[in-house]
Amino acid sequence: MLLVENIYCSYGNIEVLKGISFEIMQGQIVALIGANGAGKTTTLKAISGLMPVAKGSILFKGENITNLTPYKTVAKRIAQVPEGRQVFPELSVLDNLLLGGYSVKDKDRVRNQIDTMFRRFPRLKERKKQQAGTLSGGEQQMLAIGRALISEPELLLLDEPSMGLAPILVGEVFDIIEEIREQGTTILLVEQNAHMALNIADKAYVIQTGEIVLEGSGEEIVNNEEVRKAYLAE
Amino acid sequence: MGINIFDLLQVTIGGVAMGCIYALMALGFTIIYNALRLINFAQGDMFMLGATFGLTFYVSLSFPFPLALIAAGVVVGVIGMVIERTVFRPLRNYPLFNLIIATIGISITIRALALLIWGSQAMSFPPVYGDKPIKVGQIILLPSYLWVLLISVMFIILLQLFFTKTILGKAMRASAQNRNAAFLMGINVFFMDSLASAISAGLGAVGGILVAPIFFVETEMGALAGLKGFAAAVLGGFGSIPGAIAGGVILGLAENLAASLISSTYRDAVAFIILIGVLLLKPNGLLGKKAGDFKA
Ligand SMILES: Nc1ncnc2c1ncn2[C@@H]1O[C@H](COP(=O)(O)OP(=O)(O)O)[C@@H](O)[C@H]1O
Ligand SMILES: [Mg+2]
Repeated sequence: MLLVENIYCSYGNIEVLKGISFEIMQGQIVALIGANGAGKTTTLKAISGLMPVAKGSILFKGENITNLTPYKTVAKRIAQVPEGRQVFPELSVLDNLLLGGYSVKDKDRVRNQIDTMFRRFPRLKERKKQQAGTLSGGEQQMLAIGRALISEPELLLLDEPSMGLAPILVGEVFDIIEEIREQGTTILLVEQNAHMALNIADKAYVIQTGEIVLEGSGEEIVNNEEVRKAYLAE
Repeated sequence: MGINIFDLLQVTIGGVAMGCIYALMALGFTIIYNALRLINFAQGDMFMLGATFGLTFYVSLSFPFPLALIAAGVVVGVIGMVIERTVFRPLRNYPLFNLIIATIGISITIRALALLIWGSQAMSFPPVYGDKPIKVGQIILLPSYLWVLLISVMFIILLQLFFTKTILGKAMRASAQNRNAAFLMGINVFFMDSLASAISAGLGAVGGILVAPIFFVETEMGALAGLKGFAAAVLGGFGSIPGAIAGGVILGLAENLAASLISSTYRDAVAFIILIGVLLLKPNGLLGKKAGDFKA
């Protein structure tokens, strides 16, 4: 479904992605794990067009989407939940969700999707008039995920959805991710919380200073000695 | 020298009316600041262009006044959009200082061009609002200030509705709050920048044409109006929309009260005093966010 081939990205003179390649099959959860600063966020930004790609290509369902203008990616049915949630703090919960459907022409569909999100996240419904910036961290994460789902993406890019959440909420977020996949959305999951990510992933890639150093099924990676030492703190 | 209650009411209405004009100017500063993080020192010239284009449309082309007002707003709005596309956007990744210098350059250029078109003579705008005083009970009111008040309040309400009720307005606010997240929603943030610049310019122009029948029209008239709009925005808290409105009204009122209670020579000093006072005592203004909240 998504084919990332040998991409390079730089911030100024500093090359932070040095030939990243990986593939995501339809219906999979693919985990991308790696230490802080390895280049995970940059990889997601390259896919959604927020980060210019200097070399290499990104194909989505056979179509070349390398360096697509960032506001056009969502119309290709790729949505991203950015690192640190990034809800619009001074807009209401409802307006945040409405903007999730900004690219969708059929506004009835958007309304239906918002209702679906309110059923999935009743806490958001109770707070729909509240400014998003006043929500708790967990609620903001639910809102960020809900907002990305309004456009009914075929591919969802999740950047550290468990970051800064209490353990009980982390479990909740991972349940939601599995639920989203069951409903047919393919997922690229970036996590530092490698253990949980690998447990639900069909396929996993380990990224280190801008390069993929290991790939395999979630199970293989979880059982890999080096990974256990480096990322699973054992 | 006594002042009675009726005079005071008159002074108040005149002050609030001028305050609404300052509010329009302050909103212009605010909207462009929120989108592009830049203080546009050409905002005052949009005010001037509103008055000069208004004069051309109303007198030379004999448009009815409401149409002249809308046409001036639209033409100057388009000019604002062009400035964003040709100057602000290419400079986007340069330091803020460069951008601010660029706005000063734009201001000088616009004044020079306006001088070529309209000349250096002060021109008078026909008395559109009529000069028959309106009597409400014992109070005698000048129609001009009432009209200015009415029309500018109408524009402020329309703007508020745009930002809170329309998806485009919400998308503009979202782009100002988090650019990258707005891109991810499929919002064409570049277009939102152009739109912000257009709305700011258009609001300035509306202010200019509204007061044109009260004052003279000349190509240098933007300087003082720009300064007062800037002072109003600082007073309200730079970047805050309710702050810009409150700041404008307070400044207009304070000016008119100072002029009638002390002396009219102090009128223009009020804006400077408020500006310096706020910057010294309460740099975030009345309704502003903490300085730390300004990051994108
Ligand atoms: N805006 C930026 N400017 C310069 N360097 C950056 C910027 N963002 C990230 N980097 C650098 O790029 C590298 C990869 O960052 P990132 O993709 O955010 O890593 P991760 O998401 O894996 O923690 C890091 O070394 C980081 O310091
Ligand atoms: Mg990251």
